[in-house]
Amino acid sequence: MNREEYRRAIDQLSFSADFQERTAALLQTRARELEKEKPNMHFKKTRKLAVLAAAAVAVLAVSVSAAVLWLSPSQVAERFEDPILAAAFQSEDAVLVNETAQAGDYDITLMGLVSGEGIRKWYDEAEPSRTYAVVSAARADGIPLSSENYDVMPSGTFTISPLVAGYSPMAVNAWTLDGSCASFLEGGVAYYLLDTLDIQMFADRTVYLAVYEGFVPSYNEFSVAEDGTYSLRDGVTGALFTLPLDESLADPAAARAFVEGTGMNYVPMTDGERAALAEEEEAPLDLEAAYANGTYLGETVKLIEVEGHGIVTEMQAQAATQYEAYMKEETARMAREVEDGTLSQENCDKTVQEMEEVLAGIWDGTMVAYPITNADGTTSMYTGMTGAAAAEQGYDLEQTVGEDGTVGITIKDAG
Amino acid sequence: MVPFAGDETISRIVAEYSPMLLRLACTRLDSTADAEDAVQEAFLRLLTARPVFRDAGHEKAWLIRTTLHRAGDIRRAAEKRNVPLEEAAQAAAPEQAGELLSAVRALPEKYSAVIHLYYYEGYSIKEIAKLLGLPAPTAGTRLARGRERLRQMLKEED
Repeated sequence: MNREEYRRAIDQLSFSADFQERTAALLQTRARELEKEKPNMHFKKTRKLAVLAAAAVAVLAVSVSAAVLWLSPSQVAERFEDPILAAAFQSEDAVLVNETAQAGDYDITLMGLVSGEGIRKWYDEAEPSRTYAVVSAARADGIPLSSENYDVMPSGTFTISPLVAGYSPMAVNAWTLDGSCASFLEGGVAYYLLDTLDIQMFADRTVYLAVYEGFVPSYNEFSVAEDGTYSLRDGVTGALFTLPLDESLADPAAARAFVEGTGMNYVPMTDGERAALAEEEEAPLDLEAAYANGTYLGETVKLIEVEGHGIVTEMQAQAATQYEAYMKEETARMAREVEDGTLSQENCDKTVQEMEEVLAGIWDGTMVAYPITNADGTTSMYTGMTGAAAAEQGYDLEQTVGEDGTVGITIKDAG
Repeated sequence: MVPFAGDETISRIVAEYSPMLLRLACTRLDSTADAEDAVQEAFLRLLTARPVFRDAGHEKAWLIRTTLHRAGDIRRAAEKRNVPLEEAAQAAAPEQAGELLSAVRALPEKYSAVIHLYYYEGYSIKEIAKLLGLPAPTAGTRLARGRERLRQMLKEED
């Protein structure tokens, strides 16, 4: 591809002369409108997290005696000296879920949820709406948890994070949702209070609360099916609760703006797609090791930055310099031949263009060129594809080991 | 938290990124008017989404990706409309593009963006990877495959 030709084509595009002025004015007007809209967002009452009928019936896997001893979500908020949040958990807007799942040696219980604005004492009412969730963990065998046998710090034993079907675990999680988690041990039970930006905007999708051993959620802990739903990977200790959110409270536009605002790739990938991507990534890695100019494996490839060409190998830069010198000589020689009438101008131009393409190929790593000594003692320039380019075009590469132990790559004929 | 609010900041961002984003949008869209729409929508999204940027590089990467998303949306919407060819020709009247730019537009998005950022904007593979949120080897592979596809397309047209 000819860089200059492409640049010329792009430079010929003509945009509106007033585009920048018009766009800046539009944005400034919109910014002022957003400022005016802001006060209306304050002082809303807490919104209800509606309970789906099925989810309203708690699946309790705890003994009656243990249940009696456990703190309620409201009491957990009180332990954090937050009467406003404690009251919110007692209001009809709160959802008491009390669903328990076993995770390794522990019973994890999602106790309750509440969402709203200004329902925590240290948040200003102007803060956007947030979701609060109370989770507890206890030993399944009844042994009380203590600081001796359990790390109650967030992410010490368990990490708690929302996840949303259809969005990648890197894009929507407790970190991107501006989450924080507080925890304590009491009566042999670990309690966690997680708060994040309001997750009801995702309510038209399946929203999970994941409690798992690990740190920032990724595909290492979770797999995503083709329909975007999540499951915990085998071998990962944890629980995945589905949150009973009211679909009517979903705000798809806000959700879209949020995920786009994360700057992360928010489209989730199935294991199959990840495997295909890994294959795509791995192929050039091996071939880069056999980097065409040297075609030796195991050699250290030194990278340098060359203005106008970005990061290239040192060997690439050397080869390009050598080839440029060769081009100069050849062009001068052909000019003389054109002058003598032994070479047509057309053939001369064609050869120059071919040499320019080879040079561009050396810079972008698809071509290799080096001088070779012919049988009659003369020198000529060998040009050819790099291993990476050959593999791209379906040629087979064969690894060979020389007598001196160096490893080389030979390009075989295409199959 | 707020990436920009003042008129001066808005003007700076528009002036700094518009030329690059418009060129990039044109690798997906035949019409410069559509490209202007895509870039304007990306800026508006910046205003409403209020993303938190780590640094200027993050800001640029966000705008590049959002512009590509918007351009992709506009292109798909146009394709879905499925307007009869004659009618479309009369209505849209896309600007005449050279053979090379037309070929770049015909590439899948994952290749055209890398090709453009490398050949026009002069970014290195490593920088492109960072801007598009890809591993560097993937960006390199896409560049090589994009080049090869272009070569094939241009050869077929000859």
